Amino acid sequence: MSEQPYVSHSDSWESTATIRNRPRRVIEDDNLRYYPMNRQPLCTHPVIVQLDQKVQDLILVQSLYKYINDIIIFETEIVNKTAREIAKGNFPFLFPFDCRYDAMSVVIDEDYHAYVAMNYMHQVQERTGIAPIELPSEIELSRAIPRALCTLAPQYQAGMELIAVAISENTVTAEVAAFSKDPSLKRSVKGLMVDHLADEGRHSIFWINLVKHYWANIDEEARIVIGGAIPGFIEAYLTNEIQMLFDHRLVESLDISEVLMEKIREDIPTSYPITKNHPMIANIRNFLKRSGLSQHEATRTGLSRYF
Amino acid sequence: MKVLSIGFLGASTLATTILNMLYDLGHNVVVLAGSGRELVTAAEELGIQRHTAKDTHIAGLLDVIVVFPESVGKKLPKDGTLIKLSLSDVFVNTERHGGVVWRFCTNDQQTILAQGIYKFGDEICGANIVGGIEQLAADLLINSINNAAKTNGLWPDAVATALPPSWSTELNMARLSVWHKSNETVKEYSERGSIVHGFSDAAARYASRTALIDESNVITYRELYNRAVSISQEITEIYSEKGLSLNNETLIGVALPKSARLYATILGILGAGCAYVPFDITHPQERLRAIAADSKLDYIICDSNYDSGLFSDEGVQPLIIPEFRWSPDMSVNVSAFPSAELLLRDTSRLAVVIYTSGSTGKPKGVMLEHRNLLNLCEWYRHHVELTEESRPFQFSTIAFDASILDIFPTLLSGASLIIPSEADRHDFLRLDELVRTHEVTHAFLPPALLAALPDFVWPTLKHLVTGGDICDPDTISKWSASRKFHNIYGPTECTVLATTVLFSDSSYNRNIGKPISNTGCYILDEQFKPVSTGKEGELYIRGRGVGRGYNSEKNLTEERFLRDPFSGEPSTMIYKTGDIVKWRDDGNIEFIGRRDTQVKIRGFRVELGEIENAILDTRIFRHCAVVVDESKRIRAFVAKPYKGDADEETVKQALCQVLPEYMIPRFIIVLDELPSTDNGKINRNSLAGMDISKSLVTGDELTETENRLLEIWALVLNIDTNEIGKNDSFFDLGGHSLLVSRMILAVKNSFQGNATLARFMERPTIAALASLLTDSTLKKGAQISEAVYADMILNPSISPVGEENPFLRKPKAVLLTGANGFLGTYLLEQLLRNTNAVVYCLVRGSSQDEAEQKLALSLLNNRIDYRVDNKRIQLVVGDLEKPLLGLDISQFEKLSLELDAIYHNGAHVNHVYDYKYLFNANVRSTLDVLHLATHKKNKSVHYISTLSAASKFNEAGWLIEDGPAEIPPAFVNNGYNLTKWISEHLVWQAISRGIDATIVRPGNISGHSLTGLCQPDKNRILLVLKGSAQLGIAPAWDATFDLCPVDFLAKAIINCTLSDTRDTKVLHFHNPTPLDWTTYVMGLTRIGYEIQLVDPGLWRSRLLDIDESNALYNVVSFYLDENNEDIGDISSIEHSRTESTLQKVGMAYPKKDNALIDRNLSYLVDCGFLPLPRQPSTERSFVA
Repeated sequence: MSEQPYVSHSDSWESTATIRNRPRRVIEDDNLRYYPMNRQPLCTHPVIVQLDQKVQDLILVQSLYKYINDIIIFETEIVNKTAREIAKGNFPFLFPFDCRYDAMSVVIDEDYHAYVAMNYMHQVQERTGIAPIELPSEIELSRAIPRALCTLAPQYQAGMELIAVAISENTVTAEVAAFSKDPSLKRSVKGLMVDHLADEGRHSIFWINLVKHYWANIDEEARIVIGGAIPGFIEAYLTNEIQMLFDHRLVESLDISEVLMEKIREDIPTSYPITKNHPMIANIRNFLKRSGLSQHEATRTGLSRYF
Repeated sequence: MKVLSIGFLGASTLATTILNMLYDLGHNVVVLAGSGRELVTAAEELGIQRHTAKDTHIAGLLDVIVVFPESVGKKLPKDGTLIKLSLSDVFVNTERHGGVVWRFCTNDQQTILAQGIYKFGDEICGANIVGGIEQLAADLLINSINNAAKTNGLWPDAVATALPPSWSTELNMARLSVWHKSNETVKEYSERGSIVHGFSDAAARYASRTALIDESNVITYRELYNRAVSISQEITEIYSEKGLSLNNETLIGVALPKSARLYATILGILGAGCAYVPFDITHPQERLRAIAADSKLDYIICDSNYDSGLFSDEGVQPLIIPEFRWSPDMSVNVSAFPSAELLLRDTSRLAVVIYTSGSTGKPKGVMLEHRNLLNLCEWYRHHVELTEESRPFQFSTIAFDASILDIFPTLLSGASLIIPSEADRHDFLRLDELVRTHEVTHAFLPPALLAALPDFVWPTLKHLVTGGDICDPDTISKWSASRKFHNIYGPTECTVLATTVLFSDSSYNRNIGKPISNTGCYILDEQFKPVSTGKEGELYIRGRGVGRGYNSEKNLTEERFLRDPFSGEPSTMIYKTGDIVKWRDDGNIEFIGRRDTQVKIRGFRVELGEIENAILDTRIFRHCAVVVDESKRIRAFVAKPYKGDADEETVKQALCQVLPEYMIPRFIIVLDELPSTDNGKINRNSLAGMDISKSLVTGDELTETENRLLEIWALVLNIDTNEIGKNDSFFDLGGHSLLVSRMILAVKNSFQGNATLARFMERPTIAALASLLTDSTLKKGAQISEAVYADMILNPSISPVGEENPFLRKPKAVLLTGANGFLGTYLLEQLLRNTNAVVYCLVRGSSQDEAEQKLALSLLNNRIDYRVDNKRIQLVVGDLEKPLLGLDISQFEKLSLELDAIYHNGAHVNHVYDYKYLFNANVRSTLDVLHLATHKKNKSVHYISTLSAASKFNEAGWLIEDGPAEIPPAFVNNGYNLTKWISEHLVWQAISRGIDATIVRPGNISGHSLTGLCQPDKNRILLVLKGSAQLGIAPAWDATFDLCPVDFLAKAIINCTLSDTRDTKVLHFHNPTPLDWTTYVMGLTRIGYEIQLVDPGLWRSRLLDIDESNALYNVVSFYLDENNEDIGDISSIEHSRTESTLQKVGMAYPKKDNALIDRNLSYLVDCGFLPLPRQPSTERSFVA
């Protein structure tokens, strides 16, 4: 695979980074929702549908809190851990200065996203008076990445971490894009997503370029070993456990009788099959193609069920 | 950072793009009055308020107004600060650039806010350049606005102008957007006047060279010319003899076999100044007649072998020209064509009307003029290097437009046209011989023929042309070796072809190349805007090939032949092809498919050609065609395998690797060869309609459950039912995590069964889900769907209103539902007796009279002393199954003002129907009653439930006088009980919200204490009694048996509910005095029945054999289980609170003695419910 020279995104960062260009999102005084109905199936449960509209609203607000909490964990604990190490030259694989410099801009963007998300969460609490229920302290990636790393010898762990972060950065991008199109949502919520998306577009390319550079500079054995660990990572990444636990907790927080809770809980799915039609798999597949990983025969074979 | 308020005045895509960008950035945007529709629509989609011209103060609310070039001159709000865009066009050192300037304008001055230039460079597509300039303009403005937002609304300092004055030329973006280098095709050819002149010139120049070679003749140009002239003279004479006029519009049919004579005749018709209408005599007669009728021919030229009567119905006369009129001296030209002079002046004279298949099945005649044909001839002669040495082959039938490509360019070049006979055309070996013998140099052969031809070696064939359908890669590879292989594309309407490309071994088969001379292609999106490279759009063709339109199809002509909106000349026409194409980077056009054959499958747009290509790429079969059948299922037909082991399955497996699931054909069928039409195209219509049932191994027979599931899946997945197979995985059909819950819940809402998610996930198919739902091993009681639980919740809006009503216990007006039922009539009686209230009786009926008669009859049958015309009885026609109890709004409103209490006694009593069926009458009616009770003023609600719906037990296992439990009553398989249980929940919630309500639970309502009168057919226990009597055996159940006379019950209900001092909101009205079931049953023997008490198991086993004649038949399912609690052992039913309330109102339970039992049983005999006993009872005389 021939490698293209790395081109820094610093110029476009100056003119397009949301931290530099976007006003704060302020909650509007309207009846639109805080979270898309179609991302929270609980709202369509026949029991919930019969309950007061306030119950649905409560579920949506709590779901937004969880979403924001996930963003904060993802940006500050997952992406920025890796990005900061790359920027400071502490990552076990040394990237060229341009990459490191760009990585620092990613750190800024992601921390800023976390700040904006916290600010918005604060605004929602002020306006609705709804306090968040206990939010998860980790996201799926918090478990999936260490789990993937511990299967590998130390010299391959950094590479796997890089690819895992790159995969998740690319998946989240498309997820956020879908979010921002819902007409029943408040403009400020959508704006939050649009802002996020504006930076993530740049990040997605950044991570792809880093993976390309890394992949081109490691030996075949490393490619085989790391490529072989990707399927396990994807499987662990796309689990539903944390969401399921949260949904259970959310149901328990509702002011309804135990029997109704039980009926709703019975319908919270425990897991979903991960097939090539899984909505996030399409994004992952796209990443694998764009980063060149899918052109690696052994890696592609391991991932064949997603293609 | 400041949020800016920005006004927009514009009408372009650029304006819309920037509006969306600024909205996304978080600024307030307003579209000003006077903006174009595109911008206004964009604003509506964003939910932005629209500014109207009346609002003159808008400028004061805005930081700035952005004005786009297209809106310069529109009225602007007063005192606004403006940012104006200007776009300019200039050549710097012969290189073209687009200049972008944003000017900042206040009342007194203009400064430059931002500017930039865009270099056209080597770009060949104008739409791409426009996109680039728009991007630049947007970036410059957004950057300025970002700066202003950062500096709290301060605009950046003016940029010093650096652009030369020549930049002031305005850039026409609309014109630029349609420019494409591939459309620069202007080429002037020498003036020839008409096809007739072109041929005459060639005949003079190459007089002695061979013009035509057919089966039996070799004819020189001079001979052909002489024959053609003489035919045209004969035509002229015939018309003149008949007094018919020959004009620009005169059409003459030609129906001759392929021979020298055919071509002489065509030239003869043209020479007479007429247009020819070609008939392929091998086509079906029906089609030929339709063409003759549509073209309104006077004459059709044919030979004596032809059935001359064929067109008599259409008024067309056969014209048989017996022999060519030979000039006395064939060595010299006899004379000129009669119309030569005329044609020279008028190149727009009609030359040919060629019929193609219309989508409606009726052929449509495409009119082409001499000028159309001439441009084609000139371009083609140069493009394929036709000279007098060339020997083109005329394979196509003259009814197909490709024949024009063979005939006229050849005869204008002095070349020799090689004509196969009909027999040659259908015999590969004869074809091969002909091509080799005559050393054919040029040929048009359709793709289907090329694909089918054996590997002939034709070294003299230098130019092979194909088109009209997609070539498969195998064909391209085979025929492009050692010659020029041209792919042509074009509708007949644009004179045979509009674009062409030279195919080589590796060419992409959907590349249709670039426009030919004097022809242009627009690729436009649905808004009629040119698309950029790589984007799909519909192809529109302009230029000299665009024909006149359709013969006698004015509407269709106007639909397909449009004025060119981009040319500036009103007379220029473009043809709307209906083909979806895209520009490639190299300036060629790629064919995507027909607009009308694109199919949407599961919401995805599917291009059948893409599937065909994928199949061909698998290299399993050489040929394939993909069609969609009537049910929108994709069928792929394949033929000619590469290897012996190729079959449907290998193709399917290979496709699964490369295509998304929705594009995988439902059926793959192997044929020996693909059927083709007369024109050599694959006959897709016949494939779409082909009966393939024999080719399929398995059918998709569905059960009723599966069919219902199919409907749900289709709805949830938003796809058509016929796109779902019963063994397709939900996830393969596009289902995902969010949809699976929705689907399962939809299933739960419409099925009683309990399909758990966990089990569904094991095998997510319709077939598996159906078997889960119909699984008979599921335990009873586990089958209550979530919908039932959802109904349990009382709408939050139902709660007490306003002041307390002092008349709740001393009502002035009462509503009684089910007033004509058994208990209802006695309740009515008691209400009339114990209150002064007017009693509104809700009775179902198609009219007031009918309802009145019903109530009157019930009162009579139940021996009630009151008559229906009593002033205190007010009849209300209603229906519990209908919304608002079947009342109209005004009745509902009136009652809600008058009533003080409601006795909700009515229900649909049925022990067989399921919950859903009974829902309206039994649950929704309760909701309506509660609604009525809290509408306008507060009312009491007394809900008549049943003890079998009681659900709350104490620790000792006693049913207690309390609200319902969340655990359903024991008999959950009984829909009726469930409706009562759910209604109790609704009433109980109403009570908890402060509504004065009571739940009354009667037990076994038995006959009148004095007369035994009852309505036994609806009482399940009496059905058990009767059925047992019929069998001669009864189960020896060990249970305390209830017997609660209806008159006592009604009196107790009314007295207790009206009592101010009662202790409970829940009343248990059974009769707790001791009586066991066996004593009751054995009462039958006293009145003469032979009946034995047997072990319940034995009794149950007998039930398996009963038929409709047994009274138990309809309710048998309740008694087949060992754990039947239906009879209800009343020994463990709490009644202390009810009993104390009874005491307070001065009532006591009636005794269940033999006299009461016998009065009951005797009534059952007297009314005919029980069969007469065998021996008359000695104690019958007791019965009153």
